[in-house]
Amino acid sequence: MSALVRTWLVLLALLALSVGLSFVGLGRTALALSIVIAGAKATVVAWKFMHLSERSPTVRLFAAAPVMWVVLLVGFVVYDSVTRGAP
Amino acid sequence: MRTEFLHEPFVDAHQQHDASSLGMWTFLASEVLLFTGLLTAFASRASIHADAFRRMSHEHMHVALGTLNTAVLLTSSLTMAIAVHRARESAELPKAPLVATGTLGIVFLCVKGHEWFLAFGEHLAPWDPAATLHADERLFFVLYFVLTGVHALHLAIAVAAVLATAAWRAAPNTIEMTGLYWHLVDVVWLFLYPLFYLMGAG
Repeated sequence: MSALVRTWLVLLALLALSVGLSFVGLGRTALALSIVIAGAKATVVAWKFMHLSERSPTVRLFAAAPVMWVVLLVGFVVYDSVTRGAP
Repeated sequence: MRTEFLHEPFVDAHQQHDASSLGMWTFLASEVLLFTGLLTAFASRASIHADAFRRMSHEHMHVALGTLNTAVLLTSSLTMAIAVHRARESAELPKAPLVATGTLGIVFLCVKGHEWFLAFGEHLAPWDPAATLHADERLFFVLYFVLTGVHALHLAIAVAAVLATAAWRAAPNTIEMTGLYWHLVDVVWLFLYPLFYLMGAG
């Protein structure tokens, strides 16, 4: 039980960090950092609250596969958009 | 592991739990794909109309309300995790944490609804005949209403499911699988939050 509360405090600290970073004038870097922090929060939720730490390798693979799809799809679409240059 | 909720065709509670976990994670993967499609649309438009998107986020998103809602959902994930923990450990239904989880979900939806009505009042809705936004600015709000709308729909279903497990005294396994769905809805919001609220902050 206290482990769950500790996990929650870590998540709130990460939230505070991403809000703080957005207001110190980092510009575009801040958005990239806050997306990375969102990924960290999601990993903590999946590992602790969704019990991936206790699951079999098969279940972990099923959980990791959609992460790969998101990265491939969003990654290549953004890569395409930003490398086209002026229309 | 308690065995009084064992169903056919499983030989023991452990096997039943393994099978439901794998099935639930497969369903969650399909849900992730649904949001991936929408997020891809957002990423492609946001990278082309970067200035308009940042301006709309800066001028019209309420960072305080978005941050509050993120904290509310993270807390609801804690109460859900406590409910699952108690359901595993004792024979009693973890009614209080389940009701707390559902209530926090409703709080989130109320704050979200309030933000939507603020946006309607500023004529930001894409279907509003009084809207004065440019095409690229309107895209931001099309994506905002679709993504937060689909997310809110998922959360409403999750609220109903969690309150149903409390009302119908669900088996520990069912509470745990409902919890997985709840946490996924939380995880989706964790990504929507920086994209809409923090993009133009500062």
